[in-house]
Amino acid sequence: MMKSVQILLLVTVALMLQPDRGSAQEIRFQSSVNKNVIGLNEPFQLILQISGPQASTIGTPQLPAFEGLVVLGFQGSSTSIQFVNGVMSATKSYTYLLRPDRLGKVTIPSMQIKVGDKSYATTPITVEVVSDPPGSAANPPGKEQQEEVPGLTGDDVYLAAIVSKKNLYQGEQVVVNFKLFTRVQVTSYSIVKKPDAEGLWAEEFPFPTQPTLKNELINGVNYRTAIIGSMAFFPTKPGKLTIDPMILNCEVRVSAKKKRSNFWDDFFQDDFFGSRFGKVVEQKIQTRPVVLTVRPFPEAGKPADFTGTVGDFSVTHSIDKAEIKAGNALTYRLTISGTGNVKSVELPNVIFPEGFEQYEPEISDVINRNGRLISGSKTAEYILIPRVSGKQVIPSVQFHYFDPIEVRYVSRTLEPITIEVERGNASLAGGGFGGGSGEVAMLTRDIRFIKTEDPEFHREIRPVYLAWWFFGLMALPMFVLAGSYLYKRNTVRRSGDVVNIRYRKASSLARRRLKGAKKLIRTDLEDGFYAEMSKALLGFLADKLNVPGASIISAEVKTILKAKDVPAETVEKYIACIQECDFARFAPGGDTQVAFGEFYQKVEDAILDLDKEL
Amino acid sequence: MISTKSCETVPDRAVGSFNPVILVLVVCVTCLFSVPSAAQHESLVGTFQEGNGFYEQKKYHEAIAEYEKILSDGYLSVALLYNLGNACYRIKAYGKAIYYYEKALRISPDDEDIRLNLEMANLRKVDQIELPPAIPLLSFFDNVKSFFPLPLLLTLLLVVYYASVGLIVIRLFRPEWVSRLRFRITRYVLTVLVVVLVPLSGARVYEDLTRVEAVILEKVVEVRSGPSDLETGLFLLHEGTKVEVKNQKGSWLEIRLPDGKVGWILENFAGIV
Repeated sequence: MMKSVQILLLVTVALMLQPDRGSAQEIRFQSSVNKNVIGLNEPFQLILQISGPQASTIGTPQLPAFEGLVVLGFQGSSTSIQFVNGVMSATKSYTYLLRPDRLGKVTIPSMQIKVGDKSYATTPITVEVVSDPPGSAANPPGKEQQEEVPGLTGDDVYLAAIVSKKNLYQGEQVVVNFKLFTRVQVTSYSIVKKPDAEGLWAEEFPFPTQPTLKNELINGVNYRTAIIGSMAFFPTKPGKLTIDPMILNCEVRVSAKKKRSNFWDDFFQDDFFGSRFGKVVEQKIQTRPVVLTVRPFPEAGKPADFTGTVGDFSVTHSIDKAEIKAGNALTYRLTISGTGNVKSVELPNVIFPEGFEQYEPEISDVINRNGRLISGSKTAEYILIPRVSGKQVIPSVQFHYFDPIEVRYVSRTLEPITIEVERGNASLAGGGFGGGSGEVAMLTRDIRFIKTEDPEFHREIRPVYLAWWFFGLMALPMFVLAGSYLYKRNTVRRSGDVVNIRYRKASSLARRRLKGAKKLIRTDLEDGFYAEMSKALLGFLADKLNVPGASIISAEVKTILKAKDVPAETVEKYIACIQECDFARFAPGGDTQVAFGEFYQKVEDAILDLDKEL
Repeated sequence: MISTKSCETVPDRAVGSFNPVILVLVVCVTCLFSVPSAAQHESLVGTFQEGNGFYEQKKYHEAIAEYEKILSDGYLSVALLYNLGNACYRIKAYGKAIYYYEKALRISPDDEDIRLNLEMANLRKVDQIELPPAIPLLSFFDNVKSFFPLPLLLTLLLVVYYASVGLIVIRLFRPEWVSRLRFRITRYVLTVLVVVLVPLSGARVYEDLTRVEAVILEKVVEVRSGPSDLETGLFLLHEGTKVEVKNQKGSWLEIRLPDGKVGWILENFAGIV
């Protein structure tokens, strides 16, 4: 009955958790105990395991004579068979019950078996025999105290955080493996909380859904172990930093035999499944917090522009075209790749020549979590538009990082890249891209040089319109105007010259008379009309020529006007008007309004024509 | 670095309302004293050229120190402000560069060098304020108004003014020319020009006299809704932004952005152009 249960258990565990492959290849001979701190006269199990392809065919190993131990008997054997990649492998276990009969350290010596002409030996196990047996047996590292669950002792299942190193530099990668140790059957587990860590940047490796199971001897006790997950941490500051515990919830099947201390308890408590397969209990387990000692970056040899990148990196840069027309876009890529905290890598600043129009770089990072360490790459992609033709050089780029393993700063220098920029087409160079053409053109220009001539200095510079000379210029013509007006008035008054005044007033007087005559047309005062017209004609002439009005006669007028170079035609017309006037005044005939109008027009024309000539 | 204080010692142009008669008197009197004596001029020019020397050696901070010595003595010139602007531009103090260029441009609005360098500096500033879409008719008038630089406008005005007075004088002494065709056409043209130019230059001069502008000199300034630190912050302005100063209360300036936003800032944060 017991034997069959054991076989069943082993087979189910073997099927649930993939066993370590190495055990399937060669014959391995191992011994283990179920506890290594034992009370005096308390029975304990010694298990001998033979695993290998033909394990089942090997005979029962012989127990040597033990010193300080009494063999109580053979408890039974079990066989588990696995097929891995088509190769059958078996593990045969023999369980003996032993009892220590003295206090102190007792050693179970190495045991040997012979298979063919080869012999295999186990490693000796030392157990401690105490008078007061503790509740726990094995005391491996990294185990956290945990609550007691009925049916489980504290060591049956526990979780440990295994750290690759505890002393490290700022920014250095440390990998923490979360390892599950179990002596019982864990049917399932779930992660309650992944560890937080203040002052540390955390990156996760993918957590396996089916962890690889291994057999490990911890202080002589056989445990099944599995790494359920790994995380990488990067300290962001120096000092003592703590990685908080990881909390795991396990469902553990407690073997029924564990409780077989009292037959009656067993009988009443176990249900049907419990009696056959054991009972499933939930156990919350957690790791101990891990304290890391983080050292700051060493000062010796630290480059001035070191930005805190730690790890092992390489840097490359490239352009997509080495020859380009001005105004066309090209892509410049700067990539840093390697192991370390890729996300926090600060890319070196690239200073492009003035002849390039540049846009904000697009930065992307790729993280590889599949290796043993976190690695990846960070890329900055710049779009550049050359505006100036000719050879353009993207200068060399320097990148520094700290290598924590070699404890030194590493500088990587990139060679400058030369780009051949051909003269582009004007419209494109002007501004096919983005902003207005004015803006684009400006980027390739620089400010003008300073003014180097000796300037005039002033306490205060007023704008032009408040400058004294401007006011002077504005005032000057006013004085000129006033002066000339006064001068003119004086000269006229002193000479008593009326000639000038008559001359200037001639036109306006004639116009006034014509206007008066026009009014008379409407009132049909024939005589008055012609009298006014005559006055206008003669008066204008007298004023212009400065002769008394009454003395005007046609012949005289003719000679005077001819002397003034007035065309004969104009003179004739004028004299004709005067004669017509005289004739009409003294020989009135019923002229119509139309005739008046026509005549008026004629006289006006004559006066205007003469006015132009004089 | 250049201290903000030294910027404030730059003598500012008279601002606000003015009485023309008093102004003429003041201008005439101050002109007599505002020009330095020959010996003083020598030393100022010496300092200026020393600054230029530093600039040419690319020692911009030293150049700025030299130039600012002249300012703190209370003297200034267009070339000095322009060179200061250039030196500030070179050390990437674009706010101060814009401030000095604007100041120089205010005195000498038709200087092409200043205009271009200001344009360059403006490209480097943070706040690129987008103007609201212009109202068609208003913007047309604005364009007409600001088509000529003010000095050119004033020169035109002077020419028209002199021509008109000349015409009146001719009429007085040679009345017989008045009726001639050429004379009459000239008279009409001048009348039209006077009708256009006088109000135009008047408006421009008025605007130039009353419009107070300032350039932000601090890297970032929080604009508040009232003249106190307790008032809510409305928006941020960065160095180099030119704003219109509408009002002053204590040490606070009420400013207005080209896009119409209004708020208050401490006067220390901005330099009045």
